[in-house]
Amino acid sequence: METGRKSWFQILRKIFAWSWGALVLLAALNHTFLARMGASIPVPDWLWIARYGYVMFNHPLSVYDECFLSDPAEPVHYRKFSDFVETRSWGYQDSRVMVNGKFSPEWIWWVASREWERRGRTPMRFRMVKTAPLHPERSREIVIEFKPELTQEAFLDGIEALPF
Amino acid sequence: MELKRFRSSPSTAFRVLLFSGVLVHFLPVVLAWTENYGTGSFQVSEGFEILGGLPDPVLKMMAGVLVLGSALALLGIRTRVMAGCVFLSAWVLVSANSLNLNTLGLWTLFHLLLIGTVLGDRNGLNPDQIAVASLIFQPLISVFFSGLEKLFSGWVFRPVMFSFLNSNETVIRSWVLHIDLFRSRAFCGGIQWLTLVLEIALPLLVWIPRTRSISFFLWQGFFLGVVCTLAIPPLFYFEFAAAGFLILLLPGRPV
Repeated sequence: METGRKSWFQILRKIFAWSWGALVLLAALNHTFLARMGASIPVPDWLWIARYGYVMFNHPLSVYDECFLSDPAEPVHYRKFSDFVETRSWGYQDSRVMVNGKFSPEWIWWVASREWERRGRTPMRFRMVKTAPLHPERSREIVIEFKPELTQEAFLDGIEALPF
Repeated sequence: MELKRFRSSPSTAFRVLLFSGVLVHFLPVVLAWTENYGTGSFQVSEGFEILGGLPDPVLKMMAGVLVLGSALALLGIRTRVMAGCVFLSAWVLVSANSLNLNTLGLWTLFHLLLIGTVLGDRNGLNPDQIAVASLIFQPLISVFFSGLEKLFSGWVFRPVMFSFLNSNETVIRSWVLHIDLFRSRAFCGGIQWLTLVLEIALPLLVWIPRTRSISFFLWQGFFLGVVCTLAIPPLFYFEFAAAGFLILLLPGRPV
C-alpha cells in the first residue's frame, strides 16, 4: 500500500517536472525564435508561468533608457532620479524609476512633487533627460517648471510630450 | 535539532544562498513598511495583480510569514513547507507593491521556490535527481537563451559592453567609474565576448562530467563578476550562485 502510494506520487512528480521543463523551453523558443519569425504562440494571461517564464530573455540592454533630473542650482550636475528620495533599498534604487523596463509617469510625479513639497513649494525647475546608451540619437529632454499652479495633470501632460 | 541539517553539501549551499537572497531582497522593503505600503505610498503591481488588493493586516501577516519562513528555511527547518509559504507571501507583497521589488530575477525566484515546493523531499530542499534536474534546468535555460538573445541582438560586432559601461552610471557599480581599464574598448570588447561565450557554453558544459568542475567555478565567477560590476539587485546573484551549487549534484562524477 505504502509502495503504491509512493509510486503514484513519483509519477505525479515526474509529470510536473517534465511539463514544467517543456513549458519553460517552449516559452524560451517562442520568444527567441518563433517571435522573430512572426509566428509566436499567444500565451494566455492565466498561464502566468509561461507568460513570464521567458522574461529573463527579454534583455533590456538594446532598449535601455534612463531618467535623470538636474537641479537648477546645479545645472550641469545630473542626479539619479531616485536620489531625490531617501531609499532603504540595498543597491537597486533603479527599480524605483524602472518598472519592468518602463517609465511610470505617475511615479515620476510622485518623486518630483515630494521633493517640491520638501522645498516648501518654491519655484523649481527639473530638466529630465531620457537617454538610450545604445541609441544616443534617441535621447530626449524636457524641462518642467514647478510653480504653485502646477497640477499633476499638467505635469503628466508635460511628460507625455517626451516620447518615451 | 539535527546537526546533519547544517552539513556542508551542495544542496545546503543552495538552500542557504537562495533564502539569504530572499531576505536580502525583501527585508529592506518590509522594514520600510510605511514608505512602501503605508497610506499615500506610491504603489504599482505591474504583472503581479493576481493577489493584489488585500487589506493591510493581511499584508503585515504575509510580511511576517515571509521573513520567518525564509529564516526557518535558511536553517533547514521544514524547508519544503517554508518554500511554499515564502512563495505565497512574496507573491502577495509584490502584488501589493512591486515598485522596489520588481526585477527580472524575481521570476526565477518564484520558479525555483515553486519547483522546490513540489519536488523537494519531505526534509526540505534536499533534492533528488528529478528535483535537481528541474531546479538546475530553470536557470540554465535562462542563461543559455540570454546568450542567444545577445547573439541575435548584435553583441558580436557592436561595442555594446563599452557603451553600457561608459554611458550609464546608474546601472554600473561606482567603483567601475574609477578603473581606467573599463574605458578601454579592447577590454570591454573582451568581457563582452567572454559574456557571450560563457552564457551559451556553460549551460551545455555542465552536463558533461569532464567539464563540470571547471564549469562550476566559471559559473560562480561569472555571476560574481556580474553583480560586482552592474548595479543589479543582489537577488540576481544569490539565486544564480545558489543554482550553481546544484551543478555538483548532477548525475555522473565530475573529473
